[in-house]
Amino acid sequence: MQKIILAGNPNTGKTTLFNTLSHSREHASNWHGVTISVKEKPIKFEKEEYMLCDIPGLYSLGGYSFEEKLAIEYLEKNKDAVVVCLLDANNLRRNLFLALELKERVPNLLLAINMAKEIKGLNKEKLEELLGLKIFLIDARKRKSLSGLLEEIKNMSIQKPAAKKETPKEEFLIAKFEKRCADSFKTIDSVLDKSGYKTKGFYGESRADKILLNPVLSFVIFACVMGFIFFLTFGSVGSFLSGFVSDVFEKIFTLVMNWLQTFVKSEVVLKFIKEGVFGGALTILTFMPQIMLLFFCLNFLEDIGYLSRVALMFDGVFKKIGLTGRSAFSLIMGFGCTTTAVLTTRNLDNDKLRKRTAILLPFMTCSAKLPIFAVICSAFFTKHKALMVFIFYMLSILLMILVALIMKGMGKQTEETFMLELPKYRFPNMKKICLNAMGSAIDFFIRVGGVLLLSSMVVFLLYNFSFNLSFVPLSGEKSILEVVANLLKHIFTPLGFGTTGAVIAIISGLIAKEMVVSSLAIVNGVMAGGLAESLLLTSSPVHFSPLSAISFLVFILLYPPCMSAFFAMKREVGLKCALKSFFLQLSIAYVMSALVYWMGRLGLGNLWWLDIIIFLALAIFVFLVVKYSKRRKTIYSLETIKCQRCKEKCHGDNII
Amino acid sequence: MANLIPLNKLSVGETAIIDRLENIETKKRKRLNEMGFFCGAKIVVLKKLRSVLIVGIRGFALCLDRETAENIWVMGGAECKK
Repeated sequence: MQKIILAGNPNTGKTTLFNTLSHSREHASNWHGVTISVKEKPIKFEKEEYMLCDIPGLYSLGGYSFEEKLAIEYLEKNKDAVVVCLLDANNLRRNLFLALELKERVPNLLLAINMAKEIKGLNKEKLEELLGLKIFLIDARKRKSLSGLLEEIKNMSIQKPAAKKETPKEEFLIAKFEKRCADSFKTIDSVLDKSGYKTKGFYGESRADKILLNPVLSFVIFACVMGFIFFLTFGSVGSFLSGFVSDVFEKIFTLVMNWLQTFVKSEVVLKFIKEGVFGGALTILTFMPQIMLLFFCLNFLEDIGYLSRVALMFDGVFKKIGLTGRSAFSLIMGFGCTTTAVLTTRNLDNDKLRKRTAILLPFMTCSAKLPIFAVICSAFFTKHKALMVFIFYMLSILLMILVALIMKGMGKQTEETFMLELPKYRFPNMKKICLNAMGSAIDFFIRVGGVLLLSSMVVFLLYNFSFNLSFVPLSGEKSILEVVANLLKHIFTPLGFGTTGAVIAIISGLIAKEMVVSSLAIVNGVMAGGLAESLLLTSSPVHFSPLSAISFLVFILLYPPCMSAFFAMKREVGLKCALKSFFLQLSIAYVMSALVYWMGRLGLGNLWWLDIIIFLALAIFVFLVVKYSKRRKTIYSLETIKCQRCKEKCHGDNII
Repeated sequence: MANLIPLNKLSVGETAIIDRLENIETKKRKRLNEMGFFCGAKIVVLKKLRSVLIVGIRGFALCLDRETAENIWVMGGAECKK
């Protein structure tokens, strides 16, 4: 099958074109570096079949970051493929650099100028003639404008790749490389001037940035935006939708149960279907509206071009904690799903920074923890639910900053260049945003729902059957999970929630965080809708006091992420780093949870002055750790980059 | 002798011509070259933030950290107009 590879600079619309041509729902956004791996999908055009491939964006064929190397490797492997180099109509002066590089190496190359309507006066024929390449003016979002491009691919006679020419080593000398770039850009300028290409101002520059990037206002606006998202997701709208979905499905499941009871007489089977199957399904369904709202908001901010400004805003702050603004994207993605966020660290070309960002990612509260907060906060803090969830999110961010500061102090300081192309502000494309949010939610539902349902059934079986395989409610023996949890519960007694049920929930949360709620529901023998009330009753197997509920939530907030996130981390940054992150999270969760519980008990026992002393002692301890951590700084000085050839200070011109 | 200053010393709105890039790690320097930073290229400072500069080069806005900007030497002001 003939391959069509979509190549081009980041944020030129490759994934949008891929989605339009293949009717896919791959995540596309107004932000560079969204595509981090190669995606392939077969497409059909006039009875001919093609394999459409979307590769990560690249600025040149030099390949400096991980995903750029991946894209170049793919291009090298598929030399007989048709390569469509996508160019942003507003940014041709830079985008054409890659096109010229591709022209030298790729035998079957076509150029497609995306968002062509946004520029006027470009003489396409002249440009084609000067570049010696076929050009198509397209709108990646509209299939109609793409038929010409597909027609050309169909009629193209595929050229065999020429034998690879070895580039002389001297060509890689910085001075020569710089001269080659300069020559290439001069050619581009001359070609574009002759073709009548003109743009106003600088692409990405906007008057709105005067307010949105104002040193003070930017942070106020960001806090307001985040506050609004929290209000929308956890406040009245999210709660209403969740309640509605829960009611509807609870009624459906009750009807199904009544129908099943007419011909299924086994109590074991009925209990298994009610608590193990329907209980697990209801847990995920109840929280889908809130998860969708969160994804919708994040996609909206991404699409209008605000998220890249956030990265810019936080660069100064992040530098102080040993990260850069580029880590912001991964960290923000962490609010959605830790596993996906870990994969986005591929964008960072500095290995140490990538590891540091990956280790810190689990501190960002993923959407899977949302149901746990929603249930427990609605039980214990009904009036201030949204505020409490906000406080928990802020606590995790604060701890992330603290850990980052300690890591920065202890590790070798690296000089990471922050270089970010500003995307243009765009009107939100509601259809795309809704589809993206829906796609993310469906992906979440499929990925998590299956595991959740299966784990829910496993937990039910382990909780209802003993080691002798007898049904616990009838035999009165202790279940498998109870025996294990009874052994472990003493570890959690100092944290205020040393009960069998809470331990079962924590263990199942290591498989998937969504399991925590369904496990609590199984242990208390209720559906997800009635869980909040059951947690208040002292007669329930799992119940909390307000203080132990806070302590439990702090532990859940900070303890290691799910198994899939762990394995994603292992794949991206190695087993050592993943294990380091796991044990770091576990110890921080334990210590913080114990602190909250004991300080709370002291405060309730009128020993608040002791709380203040402990707090001050801790603050001083953290300050000293941060201040006196071993610091080694790497500075790229003339000395370190002095070339070996001339042994003189040559500003690195002779470095290869 | 031309009036050479580091890029981060330029004021907002000021245009300059790049003279040279130095003390920048090879990989990063090559990336800058590919973005259009080479001797003789025109550059303008669009905005200055705490740790980052937004510069306009080759028709697009690029954010660059101050440490890198310090190592890009430009010919600014009157010299540039000549």
